Amino acid sequence: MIEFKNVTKVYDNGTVALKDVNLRIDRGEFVFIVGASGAGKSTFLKTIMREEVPTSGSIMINNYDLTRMTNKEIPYFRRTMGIVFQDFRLIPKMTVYDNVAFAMRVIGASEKEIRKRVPYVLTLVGLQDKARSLPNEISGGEQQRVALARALVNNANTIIADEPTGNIDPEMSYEIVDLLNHINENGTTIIMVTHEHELVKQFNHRIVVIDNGAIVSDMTDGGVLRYQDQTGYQPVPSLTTMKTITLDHVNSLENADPADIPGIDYSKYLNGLNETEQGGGGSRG
Amino acid sequence: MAENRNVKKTARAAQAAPKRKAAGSRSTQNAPARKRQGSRRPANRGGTQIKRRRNFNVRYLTREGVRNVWSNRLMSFASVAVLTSCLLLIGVAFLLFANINVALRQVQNQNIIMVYLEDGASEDDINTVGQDIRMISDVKSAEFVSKDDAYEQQLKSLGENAKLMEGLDENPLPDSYQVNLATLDNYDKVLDELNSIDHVENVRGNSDLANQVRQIRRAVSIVSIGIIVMLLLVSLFIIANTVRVTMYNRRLEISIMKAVGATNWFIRWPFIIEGVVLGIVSGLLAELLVYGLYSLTMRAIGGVFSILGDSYISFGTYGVRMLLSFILVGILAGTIGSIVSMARYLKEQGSVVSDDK
Repeated sequence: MIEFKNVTKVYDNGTVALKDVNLRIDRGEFVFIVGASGAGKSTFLKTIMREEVPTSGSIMINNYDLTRMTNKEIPYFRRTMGIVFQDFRLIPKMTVYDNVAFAMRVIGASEKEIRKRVPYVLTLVGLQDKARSLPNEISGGEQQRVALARALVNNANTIIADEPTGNIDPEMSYEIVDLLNHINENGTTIIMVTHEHELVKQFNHRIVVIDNGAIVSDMTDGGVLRYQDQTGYQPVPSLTTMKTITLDHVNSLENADPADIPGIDYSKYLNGLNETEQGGGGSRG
Repeated sequence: MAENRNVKKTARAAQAAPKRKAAGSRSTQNAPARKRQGSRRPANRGGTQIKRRRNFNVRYLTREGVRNVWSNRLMSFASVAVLTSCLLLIGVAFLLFANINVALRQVQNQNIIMVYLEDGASEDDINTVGQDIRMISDVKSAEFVSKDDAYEQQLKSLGENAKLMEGLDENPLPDSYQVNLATLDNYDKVLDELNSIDHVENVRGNSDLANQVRQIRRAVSIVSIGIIVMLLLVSLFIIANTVRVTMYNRRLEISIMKAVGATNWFIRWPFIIEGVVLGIVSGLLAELLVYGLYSLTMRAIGGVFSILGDSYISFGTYGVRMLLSFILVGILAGTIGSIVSMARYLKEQGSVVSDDK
């Protein structure tokens, strides 16, 4: 479980990267974190991975209190988290097998455990036949699957995917998220940061929108669309009855009475979504 | 070009599709196994968890360290070369100073103090004086020279001019002690103490020479320690720099290691081993070079030392100790250099989440 309570992060140079963020992600959830460049996504991930400590507020992840954690505990905390990156970060000189095994070796696993575990995880991501290939011999989608296998190999209970489809063809992107779905079905929490709204739309998952360091919308809790105002999260009245929320539902907000949505200008995001959609469609054709 | 790539990838995707399905079904089969995730320390949430050893896989770490040296061989070669030069200079400096020291000690040994006794001192008095002299802490030895012996010596040293002494009715020379000191550090104080002994007429010693020898030795010590410390710092800097380059080359691996939860010590070890390997190799090379250089030099100019009455220090006297200290210096420089480099690196760089977004 991940819980952000009133988290604010101000960098030394005065940049306010996160503003009073409150967020709770339960075990087994699949959450998309959506936001433009500079919205605070990076800082959000950094605080999750305990690379940055919030200026104020508290973060609890997997029973670790990240704000009170000693440096010695950080590695052990990180073993409960798996992370995949936009640029895959595979070691070019190592085979697919070794790249995955590397994650086990560096936390001191024995070769016996590695020989048992790595083939299993490679099968899980469908790369059992590519174990001896080098990263540059396989496609981008396959490379990202290797990275995913590496994130899974140490039994992480949470997978952080930082723009995992950013460097992959759109067709392959769907497969990656689909694979994340499968992993999620088995109980692993998935947090995927992305700006590909079109992709997000295809899956029925919770969507958290970050802008300017704050969560501006969080479609969650059995389909309650929430927004943040001065007093905290408020359900959007006209949408409280919905069971699941996708971006289609968000689009319907365009027709909602602005009076129902106090203090927030959703049109900004909606316009952004539509543009991306059109742009994406164009490049596909 | 771009289209080509797309076609290729689509083909791959088509190939991959059935596999993916297979993987999917397998993953459902293995659902219970996949469920055995959990945060490791605070709560072990059910199921059998893969046992993870916290102790280091020593063989793996050592192999990584040695691999660092090899995969970074140009830089390794450069740093071994510079480090060897440093150690060579340290060794040469050390041997030079050791020899200067020996030479100075010979000068010191020749610088005896003459303690003249009062005329008419009884045998008992002479013995007491002898004991008193030997009681003084810096005195190495005291040898009694009787009046008659002194006269004989005087005659001998005068040689042809011995006639000069013939005019004298009796032996004018007093009984005396020849005193050798272990150290010249408290020369003047020792002279005073000798003077204050009963039945001592006067004391003669070359205070100026003693002071000069003392000053030279002190200067030599300060200079040698200064040079050696400076060279040690240079060695440290060289190793730290090499390790920093290796770390830069390996930043991808380090960032992955940090992301998957490797402890800082696990990340450090290979780099420390790299530093130590560089240090040991340089130590061995430097030892060989110092040996070669010293032998050659002493074959050429060793005769100078025999004029001084004693031969130069043989390499064997210090060889083993020098080798050990070279290796020790190498290991220390490697360890400290690596740790210094790592401390900053692990703090500032090798971040888990990239900034470039």
